[in-house]
Amino acid sequence: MGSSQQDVEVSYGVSNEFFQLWLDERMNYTCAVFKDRENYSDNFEAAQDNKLRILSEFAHIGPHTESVLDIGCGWGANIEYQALVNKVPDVHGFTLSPEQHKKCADRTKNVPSVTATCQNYLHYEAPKKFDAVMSICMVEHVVSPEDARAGRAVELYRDYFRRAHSWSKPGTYFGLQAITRCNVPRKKEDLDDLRHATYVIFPNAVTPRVEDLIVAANPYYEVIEMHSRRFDYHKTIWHWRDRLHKNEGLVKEKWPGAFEDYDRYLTTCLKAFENNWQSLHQFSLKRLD
Amino acid sequence: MSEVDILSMFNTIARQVEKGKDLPTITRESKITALGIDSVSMMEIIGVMEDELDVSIPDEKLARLQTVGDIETVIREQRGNA
Repeated sequence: MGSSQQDVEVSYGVSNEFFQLWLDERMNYTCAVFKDRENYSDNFEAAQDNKLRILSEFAHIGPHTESVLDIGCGWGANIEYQALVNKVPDVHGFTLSPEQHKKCADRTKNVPSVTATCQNYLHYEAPKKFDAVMSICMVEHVVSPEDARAGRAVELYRDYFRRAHSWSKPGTYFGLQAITRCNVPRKKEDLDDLRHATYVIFPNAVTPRVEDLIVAANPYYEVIEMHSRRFDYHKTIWHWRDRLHKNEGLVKEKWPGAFEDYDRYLTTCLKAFENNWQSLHQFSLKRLD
Repeated sequence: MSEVDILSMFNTIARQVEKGKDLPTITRESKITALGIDSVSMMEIIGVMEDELDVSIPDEKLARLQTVGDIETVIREQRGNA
């Protein structure tokens, strides 16, 4: 069912230093949102902060918010943002990746309002109900290709929404971001690139179809707002690949094979967002009570 | 085109795409994963079948194709709709 710890170690465990070389300063490994809707020309760090601001709004986080839960908190960009920028007094996040958890613990060791644990969302038991829930590109790990083929996708996404609902207070919101699957390429060369991304970079993960998420959110959440951000992700990938290329020498020296693997992966992603094989959706979901 | 032709076409194309692999006998009931064909190779097979039969299988139906018979059914549906 979905990604195992072994799977996510392949995806996020190369080395924290490696990812730090080509992600933004906060280490968001998710789509940024650019204010310049024509040319996507914003400073990349600012665009990543803008994404966190938008999702905070979608989760209705404000001065009244006392607690936030981040499902799949990665290297801790969002939990740190919630504590330091939104001044939320109680923020908790969890990730299944030990490397990511190590980074979360390190960056928040002096931020008493933040805690992070290393665990599978299926085993998380909330010690209290949260004022807001967020999940940024973690739902791609909920369903495996085998689950999708067996017709279990909606059932598993619904269970994910059920859990999020059970961890939150009545009347609260959920800020969700997900890469979504659209058209499927048929050409052999494109499929070979996708095979590489599927088996080498993100084993056992599959991006959801947007309609599956909407169907699955019922009966726990209603969709209040939804945005498509395909070109934002294209530009995000462009920045990541550009930064990877600028560090080519160091990456090749320290992590043999990683430059070639990630260059191919990011180039495939550029094609995927250009051709609408993949898109990016952000949702503001309100609990149904 | 009859069902048997579609099955036979799948059989031929699958062996071309998976060249070098010793595929077992393919029947309508064969599970695609049990044949050793992964989801990416399946897309390549489907792409060739779509071209040859001049049909287009809706993307939202692709993830749920489990058996060779499922592919046959969805192609027949699309040809019926054409």
